[in-house]
Amino acid sequence: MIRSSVLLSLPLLVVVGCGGAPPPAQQTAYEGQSARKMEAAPAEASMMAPQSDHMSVEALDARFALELDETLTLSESSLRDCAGACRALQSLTRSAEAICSLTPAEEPRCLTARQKHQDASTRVLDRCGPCAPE
Amino acid sequence: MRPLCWLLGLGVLVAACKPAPACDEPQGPAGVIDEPLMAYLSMARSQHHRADLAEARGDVSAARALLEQLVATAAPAGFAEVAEVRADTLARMAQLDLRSGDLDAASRSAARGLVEVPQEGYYRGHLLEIDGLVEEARSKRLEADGRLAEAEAARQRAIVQLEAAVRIQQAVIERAIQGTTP
Repeated sequence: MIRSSVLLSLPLLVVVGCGGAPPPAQQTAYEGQSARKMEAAPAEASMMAPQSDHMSVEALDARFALELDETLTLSESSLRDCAGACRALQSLTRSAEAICSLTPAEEPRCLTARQKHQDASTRVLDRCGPCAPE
Repeated sequence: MRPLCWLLGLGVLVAACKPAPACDEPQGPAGVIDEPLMAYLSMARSQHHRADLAEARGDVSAARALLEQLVATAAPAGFAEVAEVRADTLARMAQLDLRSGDLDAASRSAARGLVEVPQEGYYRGHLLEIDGLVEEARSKRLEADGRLAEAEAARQRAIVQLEAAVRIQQAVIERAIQGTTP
């Protein structure tokens, strides 16, 4: 679901990303800002809740802006993190293959590398879907 | 997609952002947009693109020279992005050296790159991977020359570097996917 919203919001990300979304350069900076946004959301929403049936245009705009901002934040983060996970997985894959080419297949070092590769592949696939080919 | 394209594209986009509280990562210590960083990232992207073109026409030495030029260029200090660009450029140089069969040059490029990124992250893992591949090639060459003890030593060095690469990239993956939604 998040992945499809990533695709849909990509053009918007480029336009809006600089002004409203958190910095894409570092994951830690994103996490901090996202957490603050998530904490702020319920309070702001509850202020608007009593008028939910007859909300003013301004209140609707504010709610929409808040929801859009959160969507962009999540989408951008997922995109960046999965891209990072995929390129690390590609490097891990090449390294594990090389280890096994240097050792007999039944040797523990090859088996360990192969297992780590399997685990990492499963983790990335579960969270990000298939990585684009190199 | 090449990792550097991802980094540079993101870096230039971020560095080009107008000042805003949520867009402050590539700013300098004073909190203002750093134009030298923006210029450096843009120049680095262009230089890599020129190296791509040289590689595409089979001119590996021209590609390497362009990358060496980039590494020799003065870069704004104090930015992680700069160290990562330099590390990735040196990794690419090491790969070209490896492809050309100049294993000593490949080792030197990888070692220079590792100095740029002492902390454990993707680029350090990638450089260790390449260093391992260089040692693997060295081992095969020594074995073919009948220098078996030296070949075995190179093989062991290769495995150690590659295992370090696996361990680092595994940690990078774990950190990266913590921010994703299943």
